[in-house]
Amino acid sequence: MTALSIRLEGFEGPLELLWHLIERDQLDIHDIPIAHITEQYLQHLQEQEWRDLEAAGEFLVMAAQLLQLKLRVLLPRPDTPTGAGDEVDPRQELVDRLLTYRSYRAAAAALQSMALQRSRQWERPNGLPVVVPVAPLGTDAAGLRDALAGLLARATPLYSTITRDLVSIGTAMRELVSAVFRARRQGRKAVSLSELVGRSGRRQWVISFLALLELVRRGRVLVAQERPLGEIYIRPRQRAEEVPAS
Amino acid sequence: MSETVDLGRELARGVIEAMLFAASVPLSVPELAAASGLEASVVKHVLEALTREFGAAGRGVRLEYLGGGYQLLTRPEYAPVLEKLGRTRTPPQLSRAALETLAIVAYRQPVTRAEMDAIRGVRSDATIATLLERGLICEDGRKNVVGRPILYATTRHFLEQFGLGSLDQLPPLPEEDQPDLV
Repeated sequence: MTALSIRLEGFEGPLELLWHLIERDQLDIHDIPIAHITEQYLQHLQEQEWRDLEAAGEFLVMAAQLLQLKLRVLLPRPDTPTGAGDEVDPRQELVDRLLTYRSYRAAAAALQSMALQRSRQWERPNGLPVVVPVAPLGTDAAGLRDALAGLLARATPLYSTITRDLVSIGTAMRELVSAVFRARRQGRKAVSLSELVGRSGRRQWVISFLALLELVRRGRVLVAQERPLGEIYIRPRQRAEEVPAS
Repeated sequence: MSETVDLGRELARGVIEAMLFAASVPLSVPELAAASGLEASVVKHVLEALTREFGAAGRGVRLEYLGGGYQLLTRPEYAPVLEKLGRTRTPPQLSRAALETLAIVAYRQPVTRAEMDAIRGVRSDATIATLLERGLICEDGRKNVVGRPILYATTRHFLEQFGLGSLDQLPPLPEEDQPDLV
């Protein structure tokens, strides 16, 4: 059983098949025996198994045209005298199509040999692009490595360790108390909170303030403030039992 | 353009030759003129001289006119030697159907798909797509008839691939339109 489609058989289309039959049977293109070629054509179609319906359609259209042509050739028209000189051969259109097709098929073969000839000549591969110059890199391998290192250093890491500020309120309280007593030993009555905390960040301010509140609650220090949001002055309570270690 | 460089004839020849050597594609006269700052007439004169010079016997390369530009190519007779160097070149691999379609476009351009179908007796959609993808043909406007079908034409790349300087160099269509009919 043959499962070949007409394309696999090697015929691109009906015109190619017709040329194959004409050449095989050595027929005269200018005097095609229509009955013979139609029979051969149909026989060829019957031997095919059609897979490509579209291609089949193209072949079948030609089959219909051939049958119609065969009828016109076999049956002389009743209203025209046979042998009249001005009568156009009904086969002419088909002959024209076949000849046109053949000339392009020959042209295709010529193109192929031209491409083959061209492929026997080499050009320089990838020379300098003349029209669009490429900007020079201006660096070497070490430069590239440093650039990558810099890039990686700036890149945000996927994972990072966030260190918690370890200054606790208790620590801040001890620092405040020692600072206040140190100031008294130096003869000062009070120190301001801003002097003690200084330029530290917001977090340190908050911790120091909470520590101060805690010291006030425990009765370790006294605070004074002249006006809301004003400076806070700290001094030790007079009756402090213990003297902190300095 | 930038200032015209006033080079002597010798220098002009050197500049053009250097560009032709470095390029891997054909360079047109306007491209050569723009890059060198030379007048187009000077460029043409130099190209003629270089063509003669490289055309002399004993040279390994030849100045070829391809796709509207000039390119230095090795002579075909040295192909076997170059192949021994491992430099293989394959011509464009096209099916017979694609070659037929390409031939129709080359000789009839601009041409519609329906006109190609009529000549070949089969639909040409697939082969047209292949040729477009390979850069051998391109769309070239639309035909001013009902439906305004797309017109197709060959490209500069087609000329280069098939060793043609211009479309005028296509060989005459074999037995065109059968004038020998009785």
